[in-house]
Amino acid sequence: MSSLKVESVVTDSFGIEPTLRDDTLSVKLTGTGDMAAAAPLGSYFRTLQAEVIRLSVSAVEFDVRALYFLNSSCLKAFISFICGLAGQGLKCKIQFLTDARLGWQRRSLTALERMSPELVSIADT
Amino acid sequence: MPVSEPSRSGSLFLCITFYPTERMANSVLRLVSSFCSMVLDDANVCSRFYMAAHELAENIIKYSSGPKVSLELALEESESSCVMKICARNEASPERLREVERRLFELKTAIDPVKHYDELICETAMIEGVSGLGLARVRAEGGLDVDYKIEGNELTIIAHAPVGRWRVDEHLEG
Repeated sequence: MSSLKVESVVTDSFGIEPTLRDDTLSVKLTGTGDMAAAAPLGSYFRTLQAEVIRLSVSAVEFDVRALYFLNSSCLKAFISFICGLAGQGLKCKIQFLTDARLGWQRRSLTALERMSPELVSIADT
Repeated sequence: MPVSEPSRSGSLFLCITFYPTERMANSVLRLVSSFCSMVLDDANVCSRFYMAAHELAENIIKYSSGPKVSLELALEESESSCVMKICARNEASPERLREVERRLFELKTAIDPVKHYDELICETAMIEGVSGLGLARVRAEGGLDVDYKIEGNELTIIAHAPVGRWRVDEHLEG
């Protein structure tokens, strides 16, 4: 398997850090997913989708435990990413790792699970 | 019956008028976060109201055609209940007002707010540029009721929900 061709993103208030482990692409998100983060996140997901296809990964794991807010534009970026993968006919699983102490994380992401229950799962840690 | 705007004579009332910029919004939302944490006892309840305030603030900023916008938070007590209200106000173009009125009417009258939110998610999934989900999220995920008022070119959106407990002791002790 080739190495990742997608870089980390670091801004003052938001970060994205990808790693590849076996056939799982892990993406750690940190900070605040607000107005300023929405455009970089959407753009990042377009690159990430190409990587998922190129590397034929079987799962993408989003670690959102260090994320303190996610606005609807950032949620929409996740929705477009998941629908984009499904639209390509990929059966890539999407797992979210959440902090059980931060109830908002599961509450916000549950809508994605409802949208694609066969692809999306949420694990509280 | 339309819900009334937050009362300045409520137990707590916070009104912030600001320029509709992203930078100002960040500062205002930090203040709102502190306000919610200070007033509300339960972290989950607090995060629901913060999410609602955040979505409303971003909404009025994005679609403002006027020089200023405002966000109000109020805690109103009666003998039997306590209600937290968030009120967002801006001036918008006639086109935007027509569009948001349609969306808000659908949201306000949706019998099942979660189903309405899920339908919007599917409808907008591959549309680039706008999320169109923020207001529906306030009702579906946050559990707040949403009402609105349009007068001239001014739009007022009010989100509100009962709260079980608030930090009245700290209030009394200063």
